[in-house]
Amino acid sequence: MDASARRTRDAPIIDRTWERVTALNQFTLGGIVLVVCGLLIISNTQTNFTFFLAGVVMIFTASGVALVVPWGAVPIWGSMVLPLIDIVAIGLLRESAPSAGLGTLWMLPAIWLSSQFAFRGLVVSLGAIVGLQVWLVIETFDEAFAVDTVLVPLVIAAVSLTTYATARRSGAQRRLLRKQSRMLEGALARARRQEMTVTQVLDAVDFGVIRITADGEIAMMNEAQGRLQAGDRLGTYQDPGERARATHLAELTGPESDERNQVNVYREDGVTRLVSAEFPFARALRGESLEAEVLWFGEPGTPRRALSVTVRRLAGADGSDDGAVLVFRDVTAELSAIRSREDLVASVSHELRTPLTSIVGYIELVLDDDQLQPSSRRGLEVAARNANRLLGIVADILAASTSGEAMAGLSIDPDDANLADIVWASVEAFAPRAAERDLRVDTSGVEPALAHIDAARIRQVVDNLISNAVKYNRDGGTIEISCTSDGRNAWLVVRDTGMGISQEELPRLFERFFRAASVRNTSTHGSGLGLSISRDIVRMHRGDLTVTSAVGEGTTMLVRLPVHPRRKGTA
Amino acid sequence: MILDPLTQAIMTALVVVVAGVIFISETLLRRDDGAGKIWALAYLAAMLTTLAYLGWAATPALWWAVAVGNGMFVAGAGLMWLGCCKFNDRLHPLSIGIVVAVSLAAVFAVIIGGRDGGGWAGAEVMFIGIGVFAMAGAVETLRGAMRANLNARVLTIVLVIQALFYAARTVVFALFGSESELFQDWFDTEISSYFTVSLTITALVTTSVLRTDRARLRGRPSSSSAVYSSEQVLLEDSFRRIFEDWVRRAEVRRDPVVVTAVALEDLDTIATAFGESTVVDVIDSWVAGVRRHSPASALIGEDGLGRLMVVSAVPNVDDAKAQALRIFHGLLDDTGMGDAVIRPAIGIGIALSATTGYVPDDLLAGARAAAARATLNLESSVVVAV
Repeated sequence: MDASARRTRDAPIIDRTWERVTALNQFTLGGIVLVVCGLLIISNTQTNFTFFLAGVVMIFTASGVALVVPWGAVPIWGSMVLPLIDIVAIGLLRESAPSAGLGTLWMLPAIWLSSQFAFRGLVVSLGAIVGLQVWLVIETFDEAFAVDTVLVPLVIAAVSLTTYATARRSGAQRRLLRKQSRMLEGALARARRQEMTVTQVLDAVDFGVIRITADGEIAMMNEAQGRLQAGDRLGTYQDPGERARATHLAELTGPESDERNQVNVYREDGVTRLVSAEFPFARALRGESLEAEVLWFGEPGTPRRALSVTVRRLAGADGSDDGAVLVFRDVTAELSAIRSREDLVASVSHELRTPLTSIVGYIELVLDDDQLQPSSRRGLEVAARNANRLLGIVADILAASTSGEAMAGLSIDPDDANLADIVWASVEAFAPRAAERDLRVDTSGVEPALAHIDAARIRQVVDNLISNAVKYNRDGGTIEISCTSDGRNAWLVVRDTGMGISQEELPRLFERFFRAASVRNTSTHGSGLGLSISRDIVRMHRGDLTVTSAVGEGTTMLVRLPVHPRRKGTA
Repeated sequence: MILDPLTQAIMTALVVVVAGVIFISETLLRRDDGAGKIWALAYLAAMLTTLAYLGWAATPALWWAVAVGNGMFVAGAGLMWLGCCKFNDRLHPLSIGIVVAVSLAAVFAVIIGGRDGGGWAGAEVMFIGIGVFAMAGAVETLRGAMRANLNARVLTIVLVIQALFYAARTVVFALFGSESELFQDWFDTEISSYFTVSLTITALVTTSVLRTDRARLRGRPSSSSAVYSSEQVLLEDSFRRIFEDWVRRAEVRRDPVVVTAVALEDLDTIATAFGESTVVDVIDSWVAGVRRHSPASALIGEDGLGRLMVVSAVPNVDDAKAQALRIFHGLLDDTGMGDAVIRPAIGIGIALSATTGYVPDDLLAGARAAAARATLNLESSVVVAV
């Protein structure tokens, strides 16, 4: 393997230290040889100076070479020359003073070769040393064969093998480390990319997100959250410094903020003030979870902000608590919209009720007059009945809009009644309007059906269904009305041949204030409350109101009312 | 004091060997690649010279030891000269060729003399070689970078004395021969040994000082009072001075001061596992990274091994964190850092005047402690001192 190949495999660390390893190895030997020189002189050992000086000269020359040659750029076999020279030089030194046991110095180049040059180094070093030893023994056969003649090469072989094994292991570890470090780099790059994506996504959304760690530190907060917090006190502070402090996270969430700068936070009702221990952040720190809890920030009566707060706990890989994610959503606009719609409906209804009451009163006054023509009386009676109904509907709308709860204001007062009678009365009431539109009303299916019901309320339902059938029918169409009883349930079916309702809109039909797109822009009037209230009434009777429809073909409304409801009274 | 030749040789050898060992070990420790390396070779040659003469003194039959000794003696003087050239950045391949050639000539002069040449065989070549190279060295010390350096004057004197001594020795040797009274009294081995010993010691001191000067020069800008380290961050002392002043002035106006400590972990372990040079690489790229990713107006200073302090004036903790994260991610993304096998753990700690107060030591200590905690914390690499 040449130098460039070596560089690619072990780059860049080995390359930079290669030079140094060479110099250090060589100079260690040089230093020891110097000490040996001193010892030989002091101890006056029997020394052959010819061999000795030759060895020393070789080692010193090798040291000089080690110092100046840029070993990183030299082919690998070139680097092996130095330890080989050393081996020969040590052989000379050993021969110069056989009694000094200088053969142990071979250990140094042997370690050097087997650690730096791997298997080749091991082979070369063992081959060179053993070969030299054998040669020296043969050459100087006359000398006594000592134990160390064999022992020294054996020990050196053992040391070389150990060094080789260690070097191989650490080399393998290094390669593994490098590979793993590359994998780590890749993983890190991926993680960074993902982190960036997550950050960008989080910064793009319009709800605030805060991530807190298990020990309560804020690990992440998105831009929307920053805006929420900055906007939270907008206009409240004139001093920019104070404003800056007010934007600090603790303002919104933290238990550690001081009272002076504290934003007052109120519950969903808008008037119950939270103590700081009940703040979402404090609760999240205590390990609680919240689900879309609405909080009001700011004093009642001032412009304030409503945030819906959700706290989700996060679990670590081992299932332990790993902090939480807090999501803050600004719901001020939504809540205001709902509130103003309810306000509008309430005030409109209220305004309607006053003139209606007056109308009803005066009609009753006129009806009290005995001189009234019978035909006029019948007309006025219809007017009075409908005006009263209108009054009832207005009362229902008021009840539905002012209370958030479903029809808390509605009550039913059930009694035994015949559903057929109610149907007949309703049909009669709508007959003029049906006639106006040239509708054929088929009541052949109306059979007596006794049930325990609130007749007035059920009349409201029947009226609503028939009124819808009339309103949304096509001119010259048909309305089929039938009712029957199977002993357990009374059934009412109202089928029209009108425009029908699309499948997409069907599920929303019972939502309050919902009007189908096809009628929203027509002259047909409606509040969008009728079906909702009707269903509520039917459900209070423990019955059910269902609808099937096909666009362009018509709509069928089916009312099921239990004949003997188990429970009486309001639901 | 009269000493026998062997004792003299031993004494000279001892001095030269000790001097050589000192200089060479220093060369290895410093990773000196410049003039120091060549001077180290000169010392190596000198050591070999003395050992060779020692061998010859012990065994006069060892005639070739004189050849080695003479050759190395000349080479040593030549290498001194080459080292000076290198110091002045004027090292020419021809100069190297001349030194090699003359050294070899000194060797062959003895060999031609052969086994029976005696102690003074080929001495003229050696004397002339040493004298000329010493003179060339002396001249070189008066040029280029060495000219401006007062310490180089000592080397000039040493080399001039050596040159003069060998010139005189050559003349006397040529005119009167080695057996003459004049030569025996003034230019014999004994006198030469004294010269060698005293000049070697002086030269050792001078070359060491020159090398240190050189190393320092390389790292620093021309300013005499060093403010910046070689990596272009404030030295610890300078940093402290500027930082303390900054904090004092900031306190008056209640300006925010944010101290960010960027700490590298496991440098010792890396040094053990991969060598000092790897640590140097890691530190270099790390310092460069911190410089690159810190705000341009920030104060960046050393704070002990493996820790940098970045001082800036961001107004609040969020901005300070953002700035610290920028440094952290920058360091991670830098290919220089990622290229090596080793990716040392980085911890970043922040201390703010708003919470810690305007006490320089407290700010630094807070940042240090936070950085230490950050390296242990898996969740966040940036920790704010409280």
